[in-house]
Amino acid sequence: MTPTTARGPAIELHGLTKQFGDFTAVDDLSVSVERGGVVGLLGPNGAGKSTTIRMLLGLIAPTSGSGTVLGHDVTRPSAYMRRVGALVEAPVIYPKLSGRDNLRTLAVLAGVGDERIDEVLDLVDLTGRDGDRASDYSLGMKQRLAIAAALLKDPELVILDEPTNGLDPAGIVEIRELLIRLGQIGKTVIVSSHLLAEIQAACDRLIIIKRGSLVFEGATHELLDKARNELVVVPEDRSHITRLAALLDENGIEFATNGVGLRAPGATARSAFVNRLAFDNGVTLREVRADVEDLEDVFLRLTNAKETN
Amino acid sequence: MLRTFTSEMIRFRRTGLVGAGIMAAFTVLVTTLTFVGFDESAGPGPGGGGRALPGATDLAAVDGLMSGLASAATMIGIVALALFAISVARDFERGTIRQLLVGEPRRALVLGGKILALLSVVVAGVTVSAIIGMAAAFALAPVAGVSTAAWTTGAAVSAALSTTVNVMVATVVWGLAGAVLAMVTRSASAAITVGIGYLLVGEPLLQLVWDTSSDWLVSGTLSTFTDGGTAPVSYVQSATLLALYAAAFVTATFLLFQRRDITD
Repeated sequence: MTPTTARGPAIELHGLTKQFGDFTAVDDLSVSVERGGVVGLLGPNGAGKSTTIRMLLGLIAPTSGSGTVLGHDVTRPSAYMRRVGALVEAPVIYPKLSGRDNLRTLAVLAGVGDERIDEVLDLVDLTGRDGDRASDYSLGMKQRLAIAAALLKDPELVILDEPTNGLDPAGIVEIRELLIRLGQIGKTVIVSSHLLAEIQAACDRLIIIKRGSLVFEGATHELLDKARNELVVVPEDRSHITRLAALLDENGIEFATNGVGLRAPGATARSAFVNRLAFDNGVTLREVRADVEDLEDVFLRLTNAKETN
Repeated sequence: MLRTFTSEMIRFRRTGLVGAGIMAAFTVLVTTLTFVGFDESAGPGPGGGGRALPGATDLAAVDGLMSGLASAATMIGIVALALFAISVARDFERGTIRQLLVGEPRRALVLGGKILALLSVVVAGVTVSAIIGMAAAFALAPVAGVSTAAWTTGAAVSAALSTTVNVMVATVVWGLAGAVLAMVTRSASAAITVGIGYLLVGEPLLQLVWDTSSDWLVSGTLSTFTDGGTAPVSYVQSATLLALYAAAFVTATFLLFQRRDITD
């Protein structure tokens, strides 16, 4: 496959499929990731995130389908892996070596000098502890060491699988800021995580997969636009539902009834108005509340819906 | 290849040093047993591991200086099998193979550098074992009443070099067997167990049903080669067979590594 220009997508997959015997881990996955920015890869356990990442890194050969990474055929990782850094699943280290020697083994492999080791150690805040045995590191420090390893080559494309695992809240914030910073300086960062709040805070775009298939691909705000945002209004007396419905209708507020009350999509900002309207017209409300989904709710709804279908 | 070799040496230096130390320790132990335990009156004494301990006359001969190393060859080989198995399988067991292949996606280079590093450990380990074995032999000979006159001749130097090279080559083949077993099992303990099990149980059982199997099977061929050939199998024949075994082990190891998905 002919390499695309630097303006082409960082990753482009067409019908990528991976089967292990009868089990299909990734099923006809087609996705495109533009260069630059932070992209979240979401999916429940067993969704195929790690298998997808391993195919991108050349660790696993696709059963069928095609794709490019940084303009090169996904089946020829040696053509692009010098420009890719990755943390795959749990941080893996040589416990008897120091943190610095762990990085040195990889730096030598990648042809990177010692000065870059100092830079990445500083970047993940491990300077001063780099001479300690890696087995003495906390889980969070091991995670930071693994992220440092992923950044050693100063890669164009960074793929991080669950990078905040084991980190304390301050560490999570640091990693989030690091991801955002990497995106801002033009790196393409793909981060898989089960911490949806982190994904929401750090990622410009999202890819959601379920059982190996694509469920959603787009900007984070596009997914949030799909979030349910309804005003729930329940009168104290059920016989007032018809009256309440008429009032909302007269004021141009769309709604649906469910026998107990009304649900008005997109009207959460008008809760005070609705409350006052009902009161002024002799309808006492038992409940006025906003029913708003966050990213996690949307994620669960999308993935469960996919499963149900 | 130099990069992957250097990277492997950083990771493997401690284990390699320990392995080389164990090789040397075995050599000293066997040399000591050879000089302290031989039967002065009966020539070749009782041996273990399929190789008889030499008698007093043998020890005083030109190749007596290296009798400890030669007798320890199988044990040194098992150490090499374990070293190769540990080095190859540990990366799968720990998951570090993923990191290595992210750093260098050309799998043949990763494995080539690893094998090269292991070979250098074997060369260093056997060389140190030979030197320490010779020093131990010179130290123990007066105590055992063995003449060292023949040990300082040109023929003795030639024999010492020949034995050292033979043991080195045999140790490399043991190591390559460990590598292919580790690549198949992806477990250091399983690879070592299968390797030693084959040596202690598998091949002896085969010899019960096939008399001349030791002329062809790997452990028997290694012994024949280390001994410089036997009556039915010449040195050249055993060397050729070992080369075939080595080529088969290397080919199988590389093919398995190239083609397998890294799912661990």
